[in-house]
Formats: sequence, structure tokens, C-alpha cells
Amino acid sequence: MDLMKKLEILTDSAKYDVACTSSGSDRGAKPGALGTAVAAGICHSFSADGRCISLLKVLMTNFCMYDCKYCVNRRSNDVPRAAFTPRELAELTIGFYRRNYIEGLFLSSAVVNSPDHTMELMIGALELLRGEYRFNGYIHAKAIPGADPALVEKLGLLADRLSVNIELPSERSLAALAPDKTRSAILAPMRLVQRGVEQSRAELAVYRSAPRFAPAGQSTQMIVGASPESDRQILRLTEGLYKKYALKRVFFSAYIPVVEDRMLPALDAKPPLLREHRLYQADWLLRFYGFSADEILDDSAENFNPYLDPKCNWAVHHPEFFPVDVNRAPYEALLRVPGIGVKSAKRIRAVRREGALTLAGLKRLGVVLKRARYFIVCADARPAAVSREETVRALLDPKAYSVTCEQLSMFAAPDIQQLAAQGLAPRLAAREGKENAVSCLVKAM
Amino acid sequence: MSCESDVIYLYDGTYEGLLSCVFESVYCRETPADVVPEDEAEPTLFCTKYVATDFEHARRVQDSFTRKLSAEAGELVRDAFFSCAPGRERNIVKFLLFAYKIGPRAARMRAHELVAPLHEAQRRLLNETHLLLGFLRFSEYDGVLVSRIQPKGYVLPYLQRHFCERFADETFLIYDKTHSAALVWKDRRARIVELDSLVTPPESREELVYRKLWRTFSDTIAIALRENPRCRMTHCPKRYWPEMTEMPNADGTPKHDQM
Repeated sequence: MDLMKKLEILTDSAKYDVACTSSGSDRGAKPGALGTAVAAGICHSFSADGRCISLLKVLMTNFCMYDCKYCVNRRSNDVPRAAFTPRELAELTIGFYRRNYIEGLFLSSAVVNSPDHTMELMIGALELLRGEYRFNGYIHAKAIPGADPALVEKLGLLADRLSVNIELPSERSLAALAPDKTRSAILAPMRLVQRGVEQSRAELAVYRSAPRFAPAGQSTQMIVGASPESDRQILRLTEGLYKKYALKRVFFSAYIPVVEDRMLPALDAKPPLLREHRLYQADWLLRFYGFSADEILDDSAENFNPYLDPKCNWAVHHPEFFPVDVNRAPYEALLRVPGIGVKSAKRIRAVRREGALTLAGLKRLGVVLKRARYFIVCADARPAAVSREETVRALLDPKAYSVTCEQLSMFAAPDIQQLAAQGLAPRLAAREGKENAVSCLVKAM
Repeated sequence: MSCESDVIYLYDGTYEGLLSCVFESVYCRETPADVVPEDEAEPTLFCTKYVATDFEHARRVQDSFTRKLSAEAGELVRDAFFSCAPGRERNIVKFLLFAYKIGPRAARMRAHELVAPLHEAQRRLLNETHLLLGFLRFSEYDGVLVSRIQPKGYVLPYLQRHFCERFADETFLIYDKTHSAALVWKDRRARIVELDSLVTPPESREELVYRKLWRTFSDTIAIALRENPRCRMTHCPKRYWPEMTEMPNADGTPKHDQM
């Protein structure tokens, strides 16, 4: 089989893996070696679905011994199979890297023969790349659950970031949809990686030349919408993973039907993109905005409001917290204001020392006044005395109900999709969904 | 010095030229209504004054940044100038006249109407630089890596460190068509030279194979059910596409090289 065909097959099999980030490692040039790593990460391209391409994301092989129901590469699926040789993979990575197509390699694999054998194949390829080819760029590698801890250790010394996919949000769903995998087999290597990273950091603090184990830490991903968990369960799990396993990132992937199975959504089901989007917004609130999972979704709600982003939703339900005085409030309080992000909050904190901030000044700092003005006090303005309805309307996320060329956007809220499926014209369905949402929210305020 | 006079300064378009205009403005106690490169000047009712570049004046203005203002202010002015944003000269002169009154903290007052435009220009330049770290493409000709870019800002000095570190043992050339300049890295030495045009030999077979492999990869990695052209354009503006190997042509057809 020629390399072009192999690349196509092994890319096609890897495309449902979400992570493509190249962040977390800061590594300058090494004499005689090719490449560097940049802490912030660099996007090299964007594919037609709008996702960033940073790494050459491929599988070592897509021959798989497992039969997970949600996966394109499962044993029982009739798809073309292929495997890279270590040299092919190394040549490809170097050829792409020198032309500045990529930031590095993301190597994953289907499980062939055994987890140990699979990991040995991956390690062989990475050793060639780091050794003979002197590659000093970014490498993200997937640790295979069930593999010998010594192999995870070896992999971590070659890669910048490791990841173990948690696959599904609960043990029960895992048992139903991925009978060959167990929660404990997934969490074991995650714990190993965590310990490896901690130990390596401690050693580095003592002597500078200590070997670096996964300096960019570890990440994981789970499929959303293939199983019945609520947003609240998923978000609490996510928070737990950050706290207990010190993960750098948790990724979510809206389930895309790839197989007919009575335990899975129908083949024509649309991927829950809006839900995935809300989960990422909430994930940002957990990591950068000082929110806890229980604040974002409390006892009154199991799922996100499709029409409001989680931060606006929190603001609408916590009028007692506002208004916030931008000239006096602590940084943490600024971050809670809709329309003020991490960047603008930091700017406010720095700039207000030089004089009281006005509305015009806030605008120059990048604050989105359309949303913020209902929640802030500044030198020349207080929140306008407006109806609750007007406030809610200003906060609604147009993603949930926008219609272009008489078509619903792919992020349309579920109830709008339902109305449209019943035969209502897209524009009318969108308006009805939106008006219902407004009146519900006003009542709840 | 407070009120705007009805004179327009013309200068030669160089950074030192602009600093000479700043010197002229302070020395003559006048705030020019505008500052324009000589070759972009249009007929106007204002009087014009050609300010010749004076390296001694430029040096004194440059020194004043660290002496009277702050290192941050100097950086802000330089980045704003290299952003090539429209109206940058006028904004820079007005900012500096303001800053000389206020002192070192002026550069930090980004909520102020005279300071914000410089921060905005700086943000654009640094943003474009960051995007090009990823979007820039090299082609290999006989072991030499060659790239063409058409940036809005003068980004070559800002790209230099990243690429010279990353490809330390390579020989490469980045040609900036907009500003007719090239960054050359050879024998571990970097130079930025003037270059009006760039002619490259025909591509080798290997080069064409890599381009095709890359297109195959980036087409295959997309998930059809999630296709989202607007999101793609937001993150990767179309003006970068002509130089990007994997992006389609303006008419939507895929780029093809002969093999």
C-alpha cells in the first residue's frame, strides 16, 4: 500500500480524537536537533469543520482487537485497515515539520494483539523520531489502558503530553458500550501519569538535567450524547478529573453516529454540538473564572440552558451579586460579569489605578458593553433601570436560534430542531423557541 | 503645543523619519494635523511641511523614551509603527506629545483615547505575527526552505527569533511581498534584506509529494457532519489562504501542482 493511501486511512481513523493542542511545553533549540516547543501552542491550519490543526494526528495502526460500539475502528466494522512503519511515520513527521505544516505529532493507536504490543510499537516509532531523526518538536501520545506501567513510563519520557481517554461519562455507559474496557483500567494509567509528572517536577527542582516526564501534563476526552448522563453529571466528573488527576484539559466530543445499534442514537441523529459548546464554556469557567461545578449547574438544573451561555445563566439567577463596581471590585468579582473576560478583567485591574474608568474607557479595554452594562457601576454609569425581559434579551446567545438562508444553524437549540422537524418553517421555529426561552427566563428571575 | 495646527508633516516612511517628525513637533511647539509618508500624500488644503530624516534627532527622541517615559512606551510606539495600521503616524505623535506631559505611566493608560489606538495597533501586529508562526509555509528547493508571505504589518523582525531557533541547522528565506523584504537565515546568521521579487526554480518531485500528502491529511482530518466554513474563516482569515498549501483557491477549487 502506498504512503498516500496509508495516511488517508490512518488520518480518517484518528479524526474523532478531539485534542490537537500543542501547548504546555516550552523548549528552546537543542544543538543538532530540529525543532522547539512553544508554551502557548500554535495552530498551523484549520480544517473544513473549523477545528485547529496543530499536530499530525494519526493512528499507528487501525487494526483493533476491541469492539467498542461507538468507534469506527471496532473489530466488527468493515473499513480498510493499515499500519505505519516507524520509519514512514518519522519521515512524514519531519517532512511536514520542516515545511512548517505542523507543530509536531499526535500519535494514537488502535489496540493490536495486546495493549503492551501496541505501546511497544508506538514507543519504537517515537524512539526513532527523537533519536535518529533528532526531533525536538511537540509530541502528544496516547497511553493504552491495560499496558505495563514500565511502558507508560517509557512513553512519558518521549512525549510532551500523554492522554488516556475516559471515553464515556460513567462506568455504566462504559460497560454497555465498550465491553472490553473498564473504568479502573482507564484510571490506572491516568494515576501513573500523574505520579510520573509530579515525580519528574520534584526531581527537576533538585537537578536541572533530570529526565522530563510528559512536561505538558495529561489530558483526556469523553463522548457526549451517546449515553444518558446529564450535563451536571458530566461537569462534576470533569471537575473531579481536574482536581484528582491534575489534568491539563478535559475534551468533549459530540457523538457522531457511526454505527447502527439499538443502544446508540439513530444514524440520522444530529451531533449535539450546542451541548458540546456549552460544556466547553463551562470548562473554561472551571479553569479560568473561579467557578465550581455546583455553581454552574445547581440543584435546580440538571442541564445547561441552550439559550444562555453558562456565565450569563449564572448572572441571571444571581441578581443579589450585582451590580459590580468596576473601579473597586476584586478581580474575582469582575470575572463574574457577563461581557468581561479574563483579558479585560486583567486590563481593568491594571488600568483603574491610573484613574476612574468610564463606559467609553471600558469599551476601549475590550469589555462587551452590550452584556456588561446591565451588571456594572462605573464612573459615569449605573445599570440602566430596565425590565428583566430586556436584560434577558441582551444576554441570549444567537448561536442557539440563528437562521441563515432559511436554514437552522447546526447549533440550533433542541426544542427549535424539534419544532422544525414537525414541519414548522425554520424562521418561525426559531422565533417560537426564542420567545419561549425569554418568558421562561423572565419568570425564573 | 496644545491646539492642533493646520500643518501636515510629510516624511520618508521610515521609523527614524517618524521620530524626526516627533522631534520637529516638540521643537516647533506644534501638533501636526496629520503625518503622512511622502509618497502617499494627496493634494490638500493644509500646508505641508517635509521633515527630512535626521538620525541625530531620531536618536534623541529614542533616548527620551527610556529617559522620560518607560521601556513599555518605546515598545508600544515601535510596534504601533510596524503594524502599518492606517493613521498610525498621527496616533503615535499625538500619543507622545501626551505622554511627555503625563510621564512614565502614559503607556499603561490603555483606556485613554490617545493611548488605546496604539495598543490596538500593537495587538494587531502581535496577533498577525502569532498567526504567521503557524500559517507560514516553506517549500524546499535543493535543501533551502523558502516561504512567501503577504502580511499587513512588518512582521519579519518579530518572526525572526522563532524560526531561527526552530530551524537552527537549516538554511531558509522568508520573503515578505508586501514590504519587499526578506529574512535570510544562513550559516546560523540572520539578516533582513531588501528584495523586490523572488524567483524560485521548479519544484522537485519530493516537494510536490509532500504538498499532496499534506492536502490529503488536512482534507481527511475534517469531520463532514461538522463542516463549518464560517468558523474556519474566523480562525484562519482568507487573506492568508493564497500562501497556504492546503487551502482551496479563491474559487473553491483545490490547489493543484503539476507532477
